[in-house]
Amino acid sequence: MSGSSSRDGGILDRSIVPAPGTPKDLAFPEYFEHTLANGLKVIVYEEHALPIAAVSVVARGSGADDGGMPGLAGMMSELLTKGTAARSATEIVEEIEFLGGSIGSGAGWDSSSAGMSILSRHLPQAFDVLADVVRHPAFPAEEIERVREQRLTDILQNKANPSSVAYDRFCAAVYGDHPYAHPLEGTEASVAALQEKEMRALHGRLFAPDNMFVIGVGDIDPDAFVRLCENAYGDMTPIGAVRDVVQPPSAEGRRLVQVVDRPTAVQSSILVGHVGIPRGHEDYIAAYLLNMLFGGYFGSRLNLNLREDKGFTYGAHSRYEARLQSGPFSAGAEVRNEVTDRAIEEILLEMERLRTEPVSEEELANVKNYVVGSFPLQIETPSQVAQRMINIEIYGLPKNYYNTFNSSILALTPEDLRRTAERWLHPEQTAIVAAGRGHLLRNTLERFGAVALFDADGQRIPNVESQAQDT
Amino acid sequence: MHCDFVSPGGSATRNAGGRRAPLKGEHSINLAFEEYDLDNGLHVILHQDRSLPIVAINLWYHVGSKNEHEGETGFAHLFEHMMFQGSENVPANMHFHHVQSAGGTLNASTTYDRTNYYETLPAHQLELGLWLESDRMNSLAVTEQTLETQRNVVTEERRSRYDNQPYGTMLMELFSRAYKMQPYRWPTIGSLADIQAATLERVQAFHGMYYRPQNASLCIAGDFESDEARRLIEKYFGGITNGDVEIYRPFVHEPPQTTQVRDYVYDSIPLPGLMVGMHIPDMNTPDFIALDMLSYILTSGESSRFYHRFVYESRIAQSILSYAYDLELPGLFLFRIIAQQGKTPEMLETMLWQELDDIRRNGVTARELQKAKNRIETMFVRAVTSLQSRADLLNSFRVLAGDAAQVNTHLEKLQAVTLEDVQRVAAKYLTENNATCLYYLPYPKKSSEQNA
Repeated sequence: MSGSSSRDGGILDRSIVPAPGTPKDLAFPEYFEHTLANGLKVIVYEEHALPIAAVSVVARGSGADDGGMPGLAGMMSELLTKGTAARSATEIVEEIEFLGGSIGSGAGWDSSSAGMSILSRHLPQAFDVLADVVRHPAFPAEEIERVREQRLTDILQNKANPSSVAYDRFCAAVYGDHPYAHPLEGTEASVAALQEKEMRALHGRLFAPDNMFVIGVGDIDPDAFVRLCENAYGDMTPIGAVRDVVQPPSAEGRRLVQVVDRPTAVQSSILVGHVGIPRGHEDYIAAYLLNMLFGGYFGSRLNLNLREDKGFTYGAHSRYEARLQSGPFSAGAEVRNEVTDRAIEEILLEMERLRTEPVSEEELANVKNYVVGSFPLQIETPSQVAQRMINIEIYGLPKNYYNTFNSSILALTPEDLRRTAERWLHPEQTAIVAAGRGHLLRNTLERFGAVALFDADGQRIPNVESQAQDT
Repeated sequence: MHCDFVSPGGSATRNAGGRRAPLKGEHSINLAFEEYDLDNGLHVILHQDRSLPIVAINLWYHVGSKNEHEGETGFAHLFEHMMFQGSENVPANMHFHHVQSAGGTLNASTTYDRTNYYETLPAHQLELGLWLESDRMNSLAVTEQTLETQRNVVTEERRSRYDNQPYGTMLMELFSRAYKMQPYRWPTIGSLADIQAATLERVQAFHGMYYRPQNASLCIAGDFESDEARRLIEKYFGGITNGDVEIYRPFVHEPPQTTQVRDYVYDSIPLPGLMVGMHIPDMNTPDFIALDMLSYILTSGESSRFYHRFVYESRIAQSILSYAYDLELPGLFLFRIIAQQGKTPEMLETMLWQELDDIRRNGVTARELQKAKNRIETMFVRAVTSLQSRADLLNSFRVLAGDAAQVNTHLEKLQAVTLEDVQRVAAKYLTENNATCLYYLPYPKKSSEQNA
């Protein structure tokens, strides 16, 4: 210890940790639901503290449901706000932004949506614009080319970003020929090939009243909101079609070691993992808690080990990505070049420890306290509440999911977590991916398995010997 | 716990107007608060909102990287990391542990002008948060070993966020050329050499000079009982003394720039970029308010003038940002433009000067000004949604503007900006001679480098 002198002269005994007061419960708030005759569900979460409202129109199905055209849902969704039968792209954004609001659209792995946020006094006008873009997108040729160019440039930019290239390589390694192998935004080849007719077809299939819902949060009156929805969407015809279901990926992983060469890198971006768990699986909450303890928060084993103990990195994290099918489980960090192999080794050791050693009651209590205690902080703002309401819809969770969340967490035992680790963590079957200096990593990562080297375009680089012969 | 309030297909109950207390004031938003000083000079701001059982603790120290000296750059930020490495009664890393085990979240950040520390806690853990923050204001108990680890963590932070990030060093490269005198010329993260050279003696001395009640402002926002909060704050912070070292506060102004500064930098990037900075007055001047408004007009939203011209219409840029940098000493008006494929920084720059010339001569339209005002109003409403952001905003106005009450009058100042103001500040500050222009270029391709 160095020169620890207290300023208050010791007049207050500060050695005792203050006892907490009496906790107050905060339940997940009630919200309003109504279904129109054509099957369109309307959801409202009222909160009048601030004079602002946000509305999203969300369609089930998306990025993974692309019919072999990666990036289609994202590009289709983005184009919704780029022109309708009645309004040009410029008119749409000018109308909303002049009112002080914002409008946008996009797609994730499991849903596509268009949404806007606006001072509540302008809600009816902005609501009309949103309904127009959802129902009558024009997909103008000029706008398609503009969006295509932006997306190709984004893909180009991502290739210079170490964490993006590591992530893309990781997904390709883990998922093989499953749709999750591709970047959500598509590839250069797929984005270059996307056509208007495919976008129109996907739009018709996703944005049907029986496949979508409208969610309004904030300074909104539910009755008035239902009337707005009835007027704007009540005449839509249900399509009754069951949409394509994305096949589950094969969970049979095998050890792969892949390096993306970035010759000028001053750090390695590493990802270690395998196929994870579906969002709707009964083990999901246990896996969530397990991951929190492993690498989900600052006090996690991974962060304390790699950052606070070893100083290898600014931060280490792990996550099960929540998707309809099993999304990736990954642990990762950006570490200095020389310690890349040691960091990977620590990640694998920490995974194995969770499978073999039950966590202590104290460590379990700590992470439960964090998850349960911080639940009110997770539902503080209207948008946080809305996101959870959307999760319930998209992932088919029980309506009382967030009401029973805390008790589900508290019921988990050390043995539950060990069993969960045994089932959902597989250190022997991990893909190990690092983006960094290829010549250095090829040698140091050899001990985890045969190293395959790639460039940022995803092309396999032959080993040095054969390269010498080639040139 | 209710789970039967939703019944798909049927009508349902409503949540009777929401959970949270309204913030609507006479004009727009009003944040009610009380404030006072402890005898030792610690400023206290209390914003009560008992709607949700959450309390936000937010503590600002009026010290940032501008208080550093050459040769010790990055110290204020490294020190921020050391504040988590132990105080008399809270061993290294136990700060995180206490807060997270209580169900709280926490962090800290350092800028050019200030350092903030914050926890959001369940309301019944207020005392824990005050105990933790006061213990590390009262004492610091760090070791050579924890300092060594944090030197390494910060080194990796610099690499992750700047050096190994495409375009990550654009801002620091611009600032280092735009400023000759002011202590904004080095980045808050500091140089790798200076970070590695930091000593334990300097850590303790820095604590002694800056981390004292007189130099701090504590804001509590959320669910608490006012008398109880006052009692606890007095209990934990009231006895902390100030010491007698004079606080170093640089008050340096650049001499006026008369000729343009130009340079270029190579980086691992696929597309070139242009970064331009013009000297502007500090954040507490009327001209700054007009410049802030101008920045919204130029690049806030896809319908903004410059987004429309550069990205949508001409398609010469992939992205464009502008920012009137709000700093205590005179700041910079920044443009950051990334070229679209096949376009050059020369094209970006030519168009930038043409567009600025148009504004200097003709101003902007009344509709553009009104749109920016409307957007600012909405953004302000969003900015006060969470308790922690309200607390941070109150401290921001207190520490950097000298008066927390400005939180409720700032919007009016923005609403008062006129078309003439906007044209005048454009003509006065956004000029070629007042600019530093930095071309950001991809490394030239060498065929031998491809597979090296």
